[in-house]
Amino acid sequence: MKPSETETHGLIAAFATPEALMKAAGRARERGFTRLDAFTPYPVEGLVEKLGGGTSRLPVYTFIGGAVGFFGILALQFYSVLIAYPIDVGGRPLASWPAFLVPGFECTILGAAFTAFFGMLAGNRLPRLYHHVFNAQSFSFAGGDRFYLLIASDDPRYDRTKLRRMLHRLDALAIEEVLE
Amino acid sequence: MPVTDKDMREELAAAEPARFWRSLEERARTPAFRRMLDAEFPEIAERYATATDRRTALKLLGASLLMAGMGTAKAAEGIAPYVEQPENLVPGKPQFYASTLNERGYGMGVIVEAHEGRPTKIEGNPNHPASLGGTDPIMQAAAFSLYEPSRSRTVLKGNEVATWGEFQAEMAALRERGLPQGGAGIGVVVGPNTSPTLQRLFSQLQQAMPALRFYLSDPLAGTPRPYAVLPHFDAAKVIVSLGSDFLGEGAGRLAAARGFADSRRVRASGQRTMSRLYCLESVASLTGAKADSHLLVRPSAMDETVARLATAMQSGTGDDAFATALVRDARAAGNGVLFIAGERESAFVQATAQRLNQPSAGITHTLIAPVATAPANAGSLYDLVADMHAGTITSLFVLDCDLMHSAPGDLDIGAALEHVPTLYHHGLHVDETARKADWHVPATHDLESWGDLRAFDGTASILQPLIAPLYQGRTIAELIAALTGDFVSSSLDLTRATWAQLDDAGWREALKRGVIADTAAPAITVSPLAETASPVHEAAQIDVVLTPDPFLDGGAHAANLFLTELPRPLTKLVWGNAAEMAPATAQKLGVVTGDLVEIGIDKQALTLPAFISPGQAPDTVVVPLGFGRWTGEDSDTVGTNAFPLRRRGNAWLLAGAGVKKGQGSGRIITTQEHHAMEGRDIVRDVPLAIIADETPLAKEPPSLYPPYEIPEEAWGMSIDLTACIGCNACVAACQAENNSPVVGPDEMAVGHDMHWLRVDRYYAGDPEAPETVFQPVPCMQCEDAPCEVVCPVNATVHTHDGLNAQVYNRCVGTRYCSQNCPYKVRRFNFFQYQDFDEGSPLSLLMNPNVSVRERGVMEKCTYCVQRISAARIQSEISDQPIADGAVQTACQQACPTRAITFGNIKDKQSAVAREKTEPHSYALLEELGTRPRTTYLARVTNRPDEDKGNG
Amino acid sequence: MAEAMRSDGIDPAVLAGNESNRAIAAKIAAIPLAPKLPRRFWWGFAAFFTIGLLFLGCVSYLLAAGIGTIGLNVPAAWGFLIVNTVWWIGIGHAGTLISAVLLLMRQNWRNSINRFAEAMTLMAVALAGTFPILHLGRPQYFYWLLPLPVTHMPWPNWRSPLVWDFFAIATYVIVSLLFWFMGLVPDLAILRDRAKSRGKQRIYGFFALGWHGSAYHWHRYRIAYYLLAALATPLVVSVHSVISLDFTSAIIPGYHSTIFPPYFVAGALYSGFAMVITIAVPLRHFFGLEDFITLKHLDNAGKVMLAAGAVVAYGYLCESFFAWYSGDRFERYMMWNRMFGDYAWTFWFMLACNVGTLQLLWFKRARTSPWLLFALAFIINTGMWVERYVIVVTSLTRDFLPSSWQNVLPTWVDFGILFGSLGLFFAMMFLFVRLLPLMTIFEVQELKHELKEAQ
Repeated sequence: MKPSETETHGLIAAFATPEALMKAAGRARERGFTRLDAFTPYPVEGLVEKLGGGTSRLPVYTFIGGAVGFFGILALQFYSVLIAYPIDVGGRPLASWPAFLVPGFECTILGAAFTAFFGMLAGNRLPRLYHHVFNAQSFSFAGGDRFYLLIASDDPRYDRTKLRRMLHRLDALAIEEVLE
Repeated sequence: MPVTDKDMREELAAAEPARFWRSLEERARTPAFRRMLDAEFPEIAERYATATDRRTALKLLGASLLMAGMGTAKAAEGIAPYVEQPENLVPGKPQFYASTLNERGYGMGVIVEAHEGRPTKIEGNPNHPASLGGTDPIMQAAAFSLYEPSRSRTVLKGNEVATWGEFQAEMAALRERGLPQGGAGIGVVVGPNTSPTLQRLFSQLQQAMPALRFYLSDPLAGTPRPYAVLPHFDAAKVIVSLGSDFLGEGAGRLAAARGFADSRRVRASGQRTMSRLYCLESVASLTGAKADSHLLVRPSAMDETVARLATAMQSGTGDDAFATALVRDARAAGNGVLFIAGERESAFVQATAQRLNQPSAGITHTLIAPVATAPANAGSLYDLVADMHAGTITSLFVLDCDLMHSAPGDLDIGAALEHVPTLYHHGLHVDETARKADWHVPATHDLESWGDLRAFDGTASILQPLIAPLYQGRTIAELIAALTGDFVSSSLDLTRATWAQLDDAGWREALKRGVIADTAAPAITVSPLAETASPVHEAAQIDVVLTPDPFLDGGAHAANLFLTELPRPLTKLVWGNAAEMAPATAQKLGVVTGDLVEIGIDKQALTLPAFISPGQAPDTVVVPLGFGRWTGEDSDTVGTNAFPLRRRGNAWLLAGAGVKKGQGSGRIITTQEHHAMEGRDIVRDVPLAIIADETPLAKEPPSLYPPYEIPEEAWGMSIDLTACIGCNACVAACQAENNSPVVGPDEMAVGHDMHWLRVDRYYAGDPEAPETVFQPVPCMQCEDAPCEVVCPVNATVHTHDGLNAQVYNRCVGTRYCSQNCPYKVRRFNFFQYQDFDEGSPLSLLMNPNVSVRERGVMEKCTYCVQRISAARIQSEISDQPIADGAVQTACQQACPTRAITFGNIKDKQSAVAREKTEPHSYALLEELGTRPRTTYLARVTNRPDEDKGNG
Repeated sequence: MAEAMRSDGIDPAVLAGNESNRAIAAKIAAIPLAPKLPRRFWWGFAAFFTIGLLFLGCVSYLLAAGIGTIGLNVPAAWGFLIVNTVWWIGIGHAGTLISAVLLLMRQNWRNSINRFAEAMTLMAVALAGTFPILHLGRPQYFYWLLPLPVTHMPWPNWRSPLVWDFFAIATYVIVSLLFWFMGLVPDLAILRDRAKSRGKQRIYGFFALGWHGSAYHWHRYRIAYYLLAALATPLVVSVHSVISLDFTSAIIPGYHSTIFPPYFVAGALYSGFAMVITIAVPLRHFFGLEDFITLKHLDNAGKVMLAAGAVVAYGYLCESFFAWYSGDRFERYMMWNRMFGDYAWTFWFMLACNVGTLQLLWFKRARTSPWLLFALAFIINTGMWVERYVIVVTSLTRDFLPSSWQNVLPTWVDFGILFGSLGLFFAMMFLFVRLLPLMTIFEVQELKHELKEAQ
């Protein structure tokens, strides 16, 4: 028996080429669908824009991370030579700032890299080993030759039958309901 | 089989009552018991009769303290538990006692530093004429030889452990037998010794036993002279050395070095004239290195060269540049000329020198009667061997000399000793002679024994023990006394008896000052010696000449690894000797450094590695004596023994010896492999003139870094390269003061040496007749230290008084500091060099004020920071500023010529500050901008070609 | 779009054959997923691992007996271990360059070789990181170089190049690891979905972090990936520059030279690409990956080596010229000693390997015949190791005061650690090949897609 609309997560359609997927995504947007997602074996340029996303604050965070790294280590260095241990080392001035720039640089990179990596994970809500899409029989990440479009069931304009017809016209290879 | 109480009781019963004993074990030390120990518990056995474990050590310390307090030896036998505060001792504060060390029979006055009763460091005694406050490496190493593990520890009868009591019984018996025939058949071989007490006992013994015969074994004896020369360098304008190394050899060398250096200590702010030294030599020497003009003469040609010189002195015209200049100067100097003949030069040279000296006698030198070093009419070793073969000797005493090692080859002493029914040996080690002996009595170390010795000028001083004998050691005096029938008096009693004229106050005074007042020998006048005609030597292809090693004293210190590892002043060789020769000679022989050469004389042949040492005379091969001596089971023989090459009448120059390239190569270990300065401004020479016109050498380079404020004293050092004679006393002193380890030949070979201070030696000019310069290199204590900047863990930083400190505990051992040190004065513990085994007696040697470094940390000179802190603590207690000269670094204190000045450079009046303002003061590699605290005074030369006349 | 692709100068020759995406995935994933690999693979692994044991053995001996067991003395207190560090770090650089710099330059031909190049980087840098620690007199306290707020130790001395090293190398390891893992995530997902056995599914699944290729994820992923690349690029330049500061900022003649930073970086790429080739050639041969690692790749790698090698040669030239032109007596002597002193042969050997063999790379024939290139790469890597020896050790043996001049010879421990580290390195490469896709599957697929569009 068919699952009711409430217990389905949405409808997923597989396409053979990225182009077909792009087309389908575009059409879905024209039809006013908003709760869209697509799954591709490799990044497809411009797909996110088609789905209506495509902005990220990651670069900003990364910059902040770098800044924190830089100023953090500099603060530590000045503290350690001026306050903690003001020792004459080789007759050099206590605050030998040119020397301090090297750890400064390295820590900038470190801070930025950490933010970029973990920022990406956080933004993508990863790691998350379970996802609805894994329930779809037709879904597999293994092949590299299937491109999927998912329309979530909580989309205001969600209508199983209409959708199926539309996706058929966009020559989807397979259409399947994804269970909650 | 274990010892039961019964055996023990029997043993105790058997013991002769008069003796004290410390414990039952000691008394029950029967051969059987010993055997059982060896068999059952080897490691205990090792400790038991031999090594001092910590407890025993502590007991001994206590004992020695008490004794030190009261100054009597009997107390040494009592035990002072450490809980009882011994008299006049503050734990943690070192004590200093005046004593005397025996060098080839002569006295060297010293001040010994003791920590909780352990002698750890030797300093010179300023009151003593042979030291004047200076020391040499041998004195510095004395404490090491005291704790040196291979020392003999028990009386031996055959190979069995015996007791002093048993030996005394033996002596009594021998006396019974001997007295009737007046001691006929008893022979006593002694080394050179100036001890009045021994002289007294010897003559006593001789009186008691007229037929008893003394023999003298002095392997390093020079040509006998009816006088001794005391030079006055202050009065000598021109000094001529005829093969004499007065700076490096002889009982008076420290005094001579001081006098000589003072006569050349020119300053813009002071004395502006200096003496000029001409040197005629066939074996490269310290004196030759300091000469303003020197001539290398092969030994066989020495006599005729001296003869030509003598005639030139009369005629007034020399036949070569050297002679011409010499004659010119000598004549100009008038009475201010001093000729010094080498100890080992021929009678002819002695006579010539003495004749040439006649006019200036009393001005540039004084003559005294030679100090007696042997019993009256003692025979030679040749007499001894004759008597032994004749079988007229039934019991022979060998006192403190290793005949098997040092007897000439043509004696075949080993075979001769077989003819002696009973052989008694006395010495610090169970050496080859001891192994042949029926009885062996361990000798006490100078620092363990009471006694007395005379200095080169006759001044007598007392040997004051700093510690109770670690083992069952006995002095020669006690042994001779036993032979004279005196079984009770200790060496203290015997010594005091000699100086009966001193009352208790006088005695204390003598102990305190370290010399006995007015005992110096009076001046004498000597009529010109008979002019023996200059003997002509048949010129061999190559002259082979023996020379005493500067540190080993003919083998007496062979077991002292501290000295074995100390670089030889000229060759920088360690751990062994070599056939030293000039480059041309090596070429002639077709050898390079390391190749084995074979030195043959009739049947005897000796193989040892060649070493190219510029400064040796042409066609001459020099072989140092004193190596190759075996000093007991747990010791290894270092180097090759050259004594067997000796023949009657050829003690030094081996006539008829042949040299040829041998098979293969041997091991040469040296601490300096490059000898040219490569045209770099390292050791700077300035002519005497520059002092006059006061043109400064130094040019402080600009620095980007703002100078740091030094809140307290700013310590600095100035080293006078004119005064430095390169004797290495400073290096030894530094090692002794700072607990620097002895690392052994393998480590030295790969360049892991641990001397914080080194004396660099460079050659300049013609390699066949090079100029030799020395430069002591301690840490420069740079203001802008390159080493500190690169240490990742702040393990080396500046202290509040601007020292370049090394924090051992903080060091992780990146060695980057050493990399970045232009002077390479940092030393690294590549392995665990320090022996932390408390069982080893050497652990008593450590200076408690200097931390012992562990494996993997860097270490370096810190201007003896422990001494600085001691002085600072004092100054804070007394609330007085640290007076100039209150802090002396170990190297500075040891230096016989006072070449090193140390002090506060902020105080412009301090000695060091004044030295640094001299025109010829410069910093090593100053162009690098490290701004060193250690600076040098350039070597002022007074070469004949520099000017006409003097100064 | 198509124009854009062409302007990226993508050359079809970087992906020969015409497998479908599925085939590509299958082919690459086959190696880690295969139930068992041919015996010769394991023989190879065993051989290298045995050599690797030599490393472990020598290191244990070194730690037990003390640093004195390797060929060091004063003046030459740095030896093989430091040389190894510099060399291994250099090798690491190629990986980062390929994966980061070429990515930014949109040199898509990199896609098929960046994965194992990065793996190479990781292992090389990990090894390189161990040598300075082993080289300490008291290795147990290496962490004193870290700025730890602990009362028993002071802060590190920030002026010391060794502290800079510590930061540089640590950062380099971490960033390389992040970059590498990030690239792995989608491929792990592929393995997860291809794996048959439950165990593999679980393990790969766990590390895949639940990746399912959502367009939104890809979007952020791309941004983050490019950000990391952009960060790794200055980093990789900085690392070997900082290493070179160990020498540059010291005052010892032969160390004290401003040319080092650029010339070290160039040297790093030089030896790095040599190592890439050393690994790539056997890899493509034994796993039949000629379609993915094509002659085009080798050709490009050869060109990079040619360029980097030329810079290195220029570096040698400058060094000698400066030594002469400076008029500094010490510098001049040092250079003279390098060329004609006791260690002269190392200098000439270095020139022969690094400048001599380099000239062959001018010829396309040489660049495109795999095994010849392999041989060249091997020789050049040897030469680059010797170069570091010439700089680090021979300079030290002749410094300012002739009195302290002394030669130094390596011991068997030195050699054991050097060759052992090579064994360990290749053994780890074998494990990598066995466990992970040695190429970035999704990037190869993407590349294929782009190629299709480009036509």
